[in-house]
Amino acid sequence: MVAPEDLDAVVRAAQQGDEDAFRRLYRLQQPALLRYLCVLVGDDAEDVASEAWLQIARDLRTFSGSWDGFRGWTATIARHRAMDLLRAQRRRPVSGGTAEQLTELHADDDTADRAIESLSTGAAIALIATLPADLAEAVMLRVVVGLDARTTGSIVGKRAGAVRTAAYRGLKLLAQRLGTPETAPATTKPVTRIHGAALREMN
Amino acid sequence: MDRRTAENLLRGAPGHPVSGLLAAATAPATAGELAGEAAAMAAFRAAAQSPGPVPRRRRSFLAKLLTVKMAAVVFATSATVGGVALAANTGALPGPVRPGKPSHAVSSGHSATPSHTTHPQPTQPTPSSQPARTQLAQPRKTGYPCQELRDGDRDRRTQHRKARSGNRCGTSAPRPSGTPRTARQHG
Repeated sequence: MVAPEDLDAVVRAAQQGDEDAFRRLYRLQQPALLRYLCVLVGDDAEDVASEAWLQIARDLRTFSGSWDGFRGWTATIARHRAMDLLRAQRRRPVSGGTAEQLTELHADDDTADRAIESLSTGAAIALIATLPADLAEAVMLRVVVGLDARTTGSIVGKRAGAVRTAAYRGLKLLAQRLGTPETAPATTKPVTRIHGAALREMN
Repeated sequence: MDRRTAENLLRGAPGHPVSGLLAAATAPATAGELAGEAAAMAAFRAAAQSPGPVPRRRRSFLAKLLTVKMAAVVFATSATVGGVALAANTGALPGPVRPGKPSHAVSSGHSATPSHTTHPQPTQPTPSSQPARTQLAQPRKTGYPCQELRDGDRDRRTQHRKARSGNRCGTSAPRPSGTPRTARQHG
């Protein structure tokens, strides 16, 4: 694990044009952004992430702050680009699925534990994406992007307390759903290890 | 689950059914997830070669301030000039009734000085370019419209989602480019 102050220096180096530093920032932050965007825009996450990075590269010199600030700043940019897309497409985001999809998610496993153990990143994200949109976003920003409640609140336009509540409710919902494997229908379909398949199943 | 458990889970505490899920969600990057690295680096190089970006926030703030001031000036001058023109017109209209001295009768009454001070100078540079910009800049000042837009958008999305919850399959399923990340993970 890299100390945050080292990463502050990496941010500063990238701002001064250091390519290796920027590459490092990309590798550290891109997975979190991409996963967050998966919850916001589903299949378009990669395209939106690319757009976000174009803007990050362009505007990095105007950014001022630490590594923590950089994470919040990039998440804000990613969210704006996602909202642009949603506005343009006027379509629903991926999140907001129902319990049926979740039961399908671990339908091919005997127990919830085994489902969790074998859970791939894609399936985990798909599972979080089945939460109501605001809960899913709170969970993603706090857990995956790693932001505190206040920063998350400033990104989604809520108070820190509301973010804490949303994340709490999101986790509670996930726990409830994961904790009831016996309700899973006895289908043999290996439904959703694959995120894209999860999205298709959802509809 | 209580709130403390939730906070601990958010901080990565193990031992809860959800912690496995969260660990999977925060797992290290896969190669597929970093597929855009070359494009991002290219963008970084291009940005490095371009001249340094102007500090936008400060500039737009200044611009806003200016446009607000200009809006006031434009409004004041156009109102005055318009008033004078109106006065001249209305002064001219009853003219036939008092054919002898229409302009004096009007201007000596209330608008003699404005017409002289405003007409030649201040109106010239402003009216053609400023009004359009000020209309755009003014509402942005408060910050609220953005938020309303976003909230409105979210509401619309919610409605949209409810309305379309049955048929997104048709639009997203045939898109092969949409699912590369996870496909790569397993393929």
